[in-house]
Amino acid sequence: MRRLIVREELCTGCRACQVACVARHESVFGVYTARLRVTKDEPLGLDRPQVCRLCGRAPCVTSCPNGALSRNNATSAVILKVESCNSCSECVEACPFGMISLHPRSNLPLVCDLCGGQPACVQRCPTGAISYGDLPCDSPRPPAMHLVRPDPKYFRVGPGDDE
Amino acid sequence: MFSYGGSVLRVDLTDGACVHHPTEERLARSFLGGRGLNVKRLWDQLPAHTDALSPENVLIFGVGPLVGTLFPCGARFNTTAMSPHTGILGDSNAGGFFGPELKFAGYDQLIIEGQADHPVYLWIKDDQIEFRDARHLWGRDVWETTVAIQQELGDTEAQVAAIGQAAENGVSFAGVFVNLNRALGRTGMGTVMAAKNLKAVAVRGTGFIPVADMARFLEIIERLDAVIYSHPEYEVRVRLGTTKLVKALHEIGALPTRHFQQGRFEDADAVSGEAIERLYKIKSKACFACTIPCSRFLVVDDPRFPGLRLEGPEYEPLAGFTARVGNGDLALALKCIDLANRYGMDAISLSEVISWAMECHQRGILSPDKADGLDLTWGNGHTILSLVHKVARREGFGDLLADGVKKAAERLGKGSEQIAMEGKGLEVFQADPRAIKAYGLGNAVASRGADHLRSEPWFEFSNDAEEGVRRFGIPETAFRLESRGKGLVVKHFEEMAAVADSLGVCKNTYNNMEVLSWDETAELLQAATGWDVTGEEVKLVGERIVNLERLLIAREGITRQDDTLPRRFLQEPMPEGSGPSTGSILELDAMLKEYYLARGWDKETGLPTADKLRELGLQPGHRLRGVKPCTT
Repeated sequence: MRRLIVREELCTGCRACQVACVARHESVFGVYTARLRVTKDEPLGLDRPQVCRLCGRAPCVTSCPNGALSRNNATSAVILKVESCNSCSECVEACPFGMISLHPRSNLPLVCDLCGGQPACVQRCPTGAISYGDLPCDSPRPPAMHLVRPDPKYFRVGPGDDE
Repeated sequence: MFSYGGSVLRVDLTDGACVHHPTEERLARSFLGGRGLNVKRLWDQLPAHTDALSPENVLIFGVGPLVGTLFPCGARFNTTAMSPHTGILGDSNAGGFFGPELKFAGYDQLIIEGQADHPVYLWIKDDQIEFRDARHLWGRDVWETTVAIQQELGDTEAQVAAIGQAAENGVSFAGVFVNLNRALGRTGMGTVMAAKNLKAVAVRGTGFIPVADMARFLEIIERLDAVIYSHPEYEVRVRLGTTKLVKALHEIGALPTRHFQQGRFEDADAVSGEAIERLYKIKSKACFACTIPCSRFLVVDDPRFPGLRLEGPEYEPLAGFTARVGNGDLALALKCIDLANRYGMDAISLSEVISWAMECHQRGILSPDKADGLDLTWGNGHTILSLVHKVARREGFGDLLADGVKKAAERLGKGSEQIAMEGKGLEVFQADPRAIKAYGLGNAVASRGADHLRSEPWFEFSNDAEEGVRRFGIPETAFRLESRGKGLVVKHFEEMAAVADSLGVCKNTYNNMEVLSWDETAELLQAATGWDVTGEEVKLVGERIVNLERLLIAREGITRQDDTLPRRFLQEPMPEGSGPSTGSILELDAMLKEYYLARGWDKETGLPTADKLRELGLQPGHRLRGVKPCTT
């Protein structure tokens, strides 16, 4: 199953993924209503992209009292049926990773729909820190998603790593 | 208004009044935002000779129309006020995440007036504005302050612009810092903030920015990405950022070694960007939504400096604490840079005052007993480190240096004024103007004092005579050691820099990598704002800003005589050992004449002519229409 794969060591913390997500879903620029986020610890220099894990038996889906959330057959992404949602927040509470929140204006839950199989965050990520593919154990180096994206080695140089 | 935050927020610290009004579209179209709109506001609001440290001075944070968008590095914002360091225009620019956050909160400008009666910080969460007590934060450094405020607010994603102890102690070149390491360094904007008793501004925005034509905007961005990823400079910028310049300028003999006494530095390899990458780089870091992550997170493993970790540095602080002070100890230089960031000081000005003191010592002008017994020999690590602490705390000898090199030299006398490397009171950057002459001219005429970021005329490195002819009609413009045609080059790049600073984009991409032409910029602005703007109009915005800044500094008393640089650059040829730059000198007068002519300014006074001002819609009493400027 293809999912969003994060390689934290490549993340520069730029939040372009969040901007791209909001642009794709709402046709405006912002970061607050993105369906993924980058958490940071600036003194330690840590940047951690947090994405939907596509849980096997997804608590968000099972917790919804209105049947507004379901899984897409092709992508396995969680899909919101807007007309069935009454903004009860059960899914927000249920997500074990804190990945769902209610949109501050529409009050609808923000869930990652994988953009129908072509995630905007992946297309935009400048370093390949987020990719879309099979689990890392199957494919340790996901193929470049973006034709002109450079080799990730530029972003990974550290002590003793002179490749 | 598409692509803008929409509001201007005015906060009066004296009486706690907060008012906001819609951003004026008329002004936005004439000045775009950021630096341009800030300068316009300063010009309109302040009478001449406003004391920079008085409550009457205003401190303006401004973002531009591309900030917070997917533009690769639309992250930049400007802070503008009258400068306590130079007495003229104070203006500084930084990236990071503060600018976009301010815009997501709905503001294009934040204007801070008055003076609080005790230390406070501002907490702006969308349209809620709170003055919070900062007495417990006074005396704490930039890092501590930032982290403490985020904890206090319970919001680790709140963006904080903070000052350190240097600003509180009245060091005249103290900066404002965002994201711990990103400096609004030049011209003492932190000092202004401290005088207002404002320790920090914290902001969180949950809003969004609509653009006029999203599909077209994204299409242009995609095109831009392809240009960036295939750009010849892409790889080196991602690996090294601007620190690539240490070795590059060493090769051509343009380093400021030992206070501009030689163009090459024997330890250049040991203190280069490559060395940092090899020894300390952990990962790449980027500003908001940037596709060229040129910043680097470093963990410095050195027993003398336990726990030293920092982001960056840029070339300027790196060369400042290595070549300029004759120091070949990389870890020590990084420690100094980290301290400068934490205390909150401009690393360029700081490295100048230290290297100036060392040259004074070398020439016997300054005896050790006047310098607290410090050994001012070139490269003495203990001395350099001590001086960073002493300046920030204004202790002993540090007190003399804390007002910048111009005032320090005036107080010391004995000919030390001759070697004070400043222009209009601002310390010269980390390259020898004799070896890169367009930069020399750019420094001499820059509106905030000697500074390269007002123009960044990189074209003189291109060595492409044909391109020189195509662009400026003069082949020499493409060669750094030539002076002919540089007036045209500097004019062009000053306008580009003004537009970049006003759009809120990074000059590394916009100027140095030239990813957008005037027409392409206009195309992007059309998609963003919906205006029927043309390339010609964008260029005129740049020219308008440069001219208005000129009017502003002239109002403060700057004349043609101030468009100059220290004697060494104009009269002493580059010494032996400066590689291909040996023997070069800055022929400033000839270049200045050419520059004034290109600008349409009076060559006797260096001031814009009435015709030029009319052309730009800047004549007195004229209300800028902001659509098409008068061209007749």
